[in-house]
Amino acid sequence: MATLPVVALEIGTAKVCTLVGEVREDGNILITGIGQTPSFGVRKGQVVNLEKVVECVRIAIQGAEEIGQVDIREVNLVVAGGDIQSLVNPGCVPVFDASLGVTQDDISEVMQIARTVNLPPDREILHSIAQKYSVDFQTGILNPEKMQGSRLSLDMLIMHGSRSLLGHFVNAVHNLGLDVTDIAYAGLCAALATLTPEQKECGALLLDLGAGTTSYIVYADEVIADAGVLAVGGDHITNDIAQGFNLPLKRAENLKHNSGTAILEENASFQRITIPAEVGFSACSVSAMDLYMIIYARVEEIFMLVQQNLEKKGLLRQLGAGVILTGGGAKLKGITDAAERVFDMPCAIGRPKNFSGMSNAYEGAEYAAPLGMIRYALKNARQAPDGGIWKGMFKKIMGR
Amino acid sequence: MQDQQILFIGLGDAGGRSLTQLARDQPDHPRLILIDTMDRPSQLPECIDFLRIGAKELRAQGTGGDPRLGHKAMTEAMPGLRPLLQHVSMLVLFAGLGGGTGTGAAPVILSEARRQGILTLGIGSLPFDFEGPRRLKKAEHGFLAMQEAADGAICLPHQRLVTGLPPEGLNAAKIFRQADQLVAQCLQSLWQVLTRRGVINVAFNDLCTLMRSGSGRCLMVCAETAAADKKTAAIKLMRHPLLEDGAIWRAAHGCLLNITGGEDLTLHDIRAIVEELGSQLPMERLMMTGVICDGQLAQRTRLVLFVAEGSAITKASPASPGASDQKTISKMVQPGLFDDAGRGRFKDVSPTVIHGSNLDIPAFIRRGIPIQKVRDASS
Repeated sequence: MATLPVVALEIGTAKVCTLVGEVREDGNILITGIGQTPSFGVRKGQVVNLEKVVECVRIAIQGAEEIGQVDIREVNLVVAGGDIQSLVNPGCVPVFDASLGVTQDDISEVMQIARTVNLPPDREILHSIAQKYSVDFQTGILNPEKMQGSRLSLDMLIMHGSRSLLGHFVNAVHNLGLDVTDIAYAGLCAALATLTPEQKECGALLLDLGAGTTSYIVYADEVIADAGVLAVGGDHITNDIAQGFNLPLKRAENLKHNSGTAILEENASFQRITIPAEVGFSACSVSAMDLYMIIYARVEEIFMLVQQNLEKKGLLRQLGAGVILTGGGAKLKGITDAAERVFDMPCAIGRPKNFSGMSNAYEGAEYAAPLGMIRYALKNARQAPDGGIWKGMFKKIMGR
Repeated sequence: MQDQQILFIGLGDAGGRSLTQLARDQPDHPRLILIDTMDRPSQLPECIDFLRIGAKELRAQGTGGDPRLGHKAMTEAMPGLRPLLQHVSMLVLFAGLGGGTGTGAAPVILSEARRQGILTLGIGSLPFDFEGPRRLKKAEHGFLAMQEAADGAICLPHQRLVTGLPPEGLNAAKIFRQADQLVAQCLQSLWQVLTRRGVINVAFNDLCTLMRSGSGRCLMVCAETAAADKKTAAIKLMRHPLLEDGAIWRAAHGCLLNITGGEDLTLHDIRAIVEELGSQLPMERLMMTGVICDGQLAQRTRLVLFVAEGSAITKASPASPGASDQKTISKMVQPGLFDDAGRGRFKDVSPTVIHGSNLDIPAFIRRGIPIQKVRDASS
């Protein structure tokens, strides 16, 4: 099965990353190219300097072109910034012919209606994902076809983002003469890359811990029940360390990478961590306990915000498969312990599944979102009616 | 409201002075507790309970301006305070911020009270400019921690009492007395607003909603008049130094006004007061007007205004016609007071505000966790 290679581009707050992948005959995805560069000009997932972003994207694309031996003309964009929010929009139609039961036409019609939502003019729909159907008074139906009834309704999860903020990312790509084929939400992509069908069925919370943003997506009762983005991420931890110890950001970042931990180790209370001397800065030391307190306060707060949100929506009890962490933030030592403490359920680092090729790309949780984007793009390109929850997925191409 | 038990806690030196003043001015005051790292002040009235913290370590010599010590002392003394919090439904805590005791201990008490399901309100006063930028910085962090720990927080920047005063008016003793009076008056007004049931009632949650809007900084000002023309109270209110000639109101996110009058208060009076305010200030900022009719308050009218300050520190909005000196708001709001405290890398992007707290400000600052700065490796 020869397919054209698919390119995923993620313009993050810490890094810009391009992955090239194609489908192998066994259905696995083969990663053939990767290009990556530290990101400049993005803060909290928002473009603050377009020129710098364009330059970073250029470097990342070139890198992937060289390694993957491809000529990249169009990309699939992964977004986590851009003020992405979700809402559930219900739609309802009368069943056309009650004697035939619900037909495919009725289903398409109710989807169309549930998808129509009144958003402010500056909002753009990213995804609309079908949740559950109800026929008359029977609720919680995954596939209503041929069921008898007079009224069919559907809850649609609409994910939408700020048109102008998302537009900046598209502009950065267009500035290089490239096209954007598709845009998808990072949390959704990371879930596609790492979650197994069993996990989705049992219910799971996926947290993609980026540098500028934290994206979450909840699978409960076999559907995507909730999703959203918090504009707080690993960068905030670095900033907190810099503020707490009066350090430059670069040194704070190194301190976080080398000694940062979200869980208190034994005997750490009296230990001090030495920060080596650099040009212009003499060596100094900080208390290990203080460093842990700074990091834990932030990490706990991020988790608590998500936890409280899920509790309010009554989703916490439906997460049988626990919490799965992906993104660069998942590399922080002790992050799973911290998550377990807040959510009070098993937590694990998500590993991308069914990928092969360049092992550095799929072994860590860091690339879960761009890897998932490749799967998402391939799925959409094939238009495979594979049933289940993805069936209702609707894509919206921005800026074209 | 009467069946609810309200508790006022004062912290440190400033707390002691304000509670003393309150006990004198308001004979039917709520239960008052003073918490300090020093010995019980000799002139403290009998009706105020006293709790000394950090007795062993600090030996009644204070914290030396180190909030870490205040924080630690309070955490250790918490078992002693817990029984006092029983059956309390609402806690109002006042601390003069910038020192060690108030800045360090306030968040500990507030978060513990909140955990016990008590409605909490923190009032923090910020130091004068001449007390030095270090103290101001400490106070800013202290206020953020207070805001995070409490349901609502009110800020009283003392420096505003002296801005605009002629140099000869700056009698040190007078200004400090005025600062203490201001706090006592605020505590007294707050107590009245919260306990007296109004014709149009202002509830605790109305205040908290206001406090959590805008930049997160809320201040309160009071004015009282005995004149037959109730409008005088409104005129007096607008001249309040904390409002800086109305500039704070003009930049405000929202305001809440409470009018307390005697039996003689008429609807006409209320309208006259609101119109008088409206003639000089944009009325669309006014979110609610509460009215209390108090039989004991013969002939007198008392106004309390809560102002949620806006975050915009840009050029002055068009000043009201007739305002002779158009000072820019940027000068008056003391730029960077809270908006940028600790935001560092995120200064130039729009802040992430969830449930009233600005998440760009380090979590440890908002939670009042004290951190030791770096040390040279050699030491």
